[in-house]
Amino acid sequence: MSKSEKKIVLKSLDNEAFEVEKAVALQSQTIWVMCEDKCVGNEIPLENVTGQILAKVIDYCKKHAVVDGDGDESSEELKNWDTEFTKNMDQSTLFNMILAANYLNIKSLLNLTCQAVADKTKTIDEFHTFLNIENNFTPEEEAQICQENLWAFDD
Amino acid sequence: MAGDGATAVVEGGRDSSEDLDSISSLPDEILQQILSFIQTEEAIRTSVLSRRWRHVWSGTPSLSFDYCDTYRMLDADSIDKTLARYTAPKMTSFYIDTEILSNLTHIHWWLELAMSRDTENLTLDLGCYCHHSEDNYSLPDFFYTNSSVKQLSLHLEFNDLIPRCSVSWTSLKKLSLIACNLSDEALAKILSGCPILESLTLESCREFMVLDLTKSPRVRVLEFSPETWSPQSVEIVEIVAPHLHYLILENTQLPCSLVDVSSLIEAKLDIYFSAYNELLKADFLQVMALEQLDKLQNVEKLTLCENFLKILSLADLRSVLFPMFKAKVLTLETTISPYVIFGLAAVLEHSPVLKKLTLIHKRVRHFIPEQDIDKYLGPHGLRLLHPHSFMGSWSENHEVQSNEVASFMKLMLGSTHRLEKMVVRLEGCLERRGFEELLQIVPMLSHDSNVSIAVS
Repeated sequence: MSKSEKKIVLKSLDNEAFEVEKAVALQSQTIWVMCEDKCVGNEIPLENVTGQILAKVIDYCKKHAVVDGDGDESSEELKNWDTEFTKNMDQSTLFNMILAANYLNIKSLLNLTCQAVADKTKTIDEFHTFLNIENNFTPEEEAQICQENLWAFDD
Repeated sequence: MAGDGATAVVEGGRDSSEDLDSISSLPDEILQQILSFIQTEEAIRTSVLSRRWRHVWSGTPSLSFDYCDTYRMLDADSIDKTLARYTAPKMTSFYIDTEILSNLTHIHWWLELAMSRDTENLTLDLGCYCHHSEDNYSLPDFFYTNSSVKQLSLHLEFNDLIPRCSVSWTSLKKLSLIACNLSDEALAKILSGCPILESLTLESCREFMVLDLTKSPRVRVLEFSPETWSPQSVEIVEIVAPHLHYLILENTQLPCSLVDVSSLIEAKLDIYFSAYNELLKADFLQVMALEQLDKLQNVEKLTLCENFLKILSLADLRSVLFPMFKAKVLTLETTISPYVIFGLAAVLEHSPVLKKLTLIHKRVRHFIPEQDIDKYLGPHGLRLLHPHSFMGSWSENHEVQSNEVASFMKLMLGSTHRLEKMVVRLEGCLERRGFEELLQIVPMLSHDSNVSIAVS
C-alpha cells in the first residue's frame, strides 16, 4: 500500500460519504478484501449500512485504530470506552450495529454489540420485554419444550 | 448462513422500529453469538420464546454447566439429555462443574463430546464433586491428545494429573491447573506436549518440586500459587524459568525458590496467609521475600501486595540489606497502613530509576493481622513506631482519612528519587468530604515534589 493512498472514502446506503484513514477502515475484513481485489477505486460503496450507523462504526474503528498496541492503561481505557459506546444505544441502533459489524466483518465490534444485547437480556422475561418477542406457541407446545430440558426451566 | 447478514438490515433511527421484533430477523449465527454471552440455562429457555427461537439455542457455541452457580436441579442425566439435543458443530467454550455427579463416568462422554466439537476453551472443575467422594479420578487417555483446545483449565481437587500416555496439546496457549496432584515427571511430560504454550497457571498443585520451563521458551507468563499445606512437610518448590517475562507469585509459608528468572520484565508478589489456620512464620518469610526480591532486580514493572510489604517492613526493622532495583514502574496493592511503610520506604529508596508509582488501596481477604506482627516484634524488643500523623487515628478498618492518605503520599514522595508520576486509587474508601479535602492538599504535594499526581 503506497503512502499516497492513505485515505479512503466509504459511501453508505443513503449516499453519505465518509473520508477515513485506511488503517481505520481496514479493521473491516470486508473492506480489506475489497481493497485487495482492487476492483474498487478509492471510494467503497457499502450497500448495507446507513450513514447514521456507519458514522458510529467509524467512531469505533477510529478509537480502536489509535489505541491498539499501546500499554495496559490504554487497554483499560479502551474497555471503558467500549462500555460507554454501547451503553445508551437503543435497541434498533444496537441491532443495526450488529448487522453492520457482521456485514463489514469486524469481529471485535460484533462481539461487543452481541455482548451488549446479552447484558440487557440476561433473563427470559427481559428477552420478551426488551426484544418484543411474541410467543406463538400453544401452552401444550410450550410445556412439551420445557420437558426436553426440564432443569433449565426449574424455578 | 453467511448471506443472511446482508439481507436483514433494518432502517435505523425511526421510533416505530422500536416496536418491531427486529432481533428475530437476525441470522442464527448472530443470535447464537448473543446467547453465548448468557448463562446456558437462560439460553435454553429461549426455546419457548417463539417458533423462530425453538432450536436456536442448540447451536450456541458456548455451554456452561455450573451447578455451584445456578442451584438448579441439574444432574448428570439432565446434562446428557441436553447435550443429546445440542447441534453446534464447533464449540468456542465448554465449562463443566460437577457437584451433582454420583459417579464420574459421564465426564468421559462429555469430554469426548467437547473434543469432537473442536472446543477451543475447556474448563473442567471437580472442585465441588470430590468433597464427597473417596474414589480417585483420572482423566481418560484420549484427553491427552487434542489439537483444538487453546485454553484449558482443570481443577481436579487433589486427584492425580499423571498422564500414562504421551501428551499432545498442539494448539494449547493457556493452561490453568488448580489443585492437581502432579509429579515432576508428569509436569515435564505435560509441558513437553504443549509446544506453543504461552501462559501457565499453577494454583495449589501438589507433589512436584521443580517447575522447569527451560524447554518451554514460549511460556512468557507464569501465575504460581503453591499449596499452603504439603503432605511431605517441607519441600522446596524451585522455579527455573529463564525465558519467563511475567511472573505472578502468591507465596505461602512453604518455601519457594526462584532459581532462574533472568528474562523477567514484570512481576507481582504476594503472600497468602490464613490467620485462622496458620501461625505466622515471620522469620522464614523475611528470608524468602528478600531472596525472591534479589532475583527481581532487573524487573521493570513490579507489583507488591500488602502481606509482602508487611514482611519487608519486618526485614527493614531488623536492618536487613535490600537489593537495588531497576524498576521503572511500581504498583502497590495494599491498605494505607503503618505496617507496610517501612518495607515500602526501603523498596523506594532502593529504586533509583523509578518513574511511576501507583497505590491501589485495597484489603485482601488473606491479610496478616496487625496483632500477629506486634506479637512477633515484641520479643525482639522492636515496636513499629507509628509515624506521627497515624498515631491514634489509624484503625484496622478499611476506611481511611484524608490526612492519613496525604501523609502516606508524603512519605512515599520523600523516599523516591526521580519519580515523575504518582497515581493513588482509593477505590471508594475515602468518603466524599475527605476526598475533597485530599484534592485540596494534592496540588501542594505535587508542587513541592515536582511529581504529577492523580487521585481517584
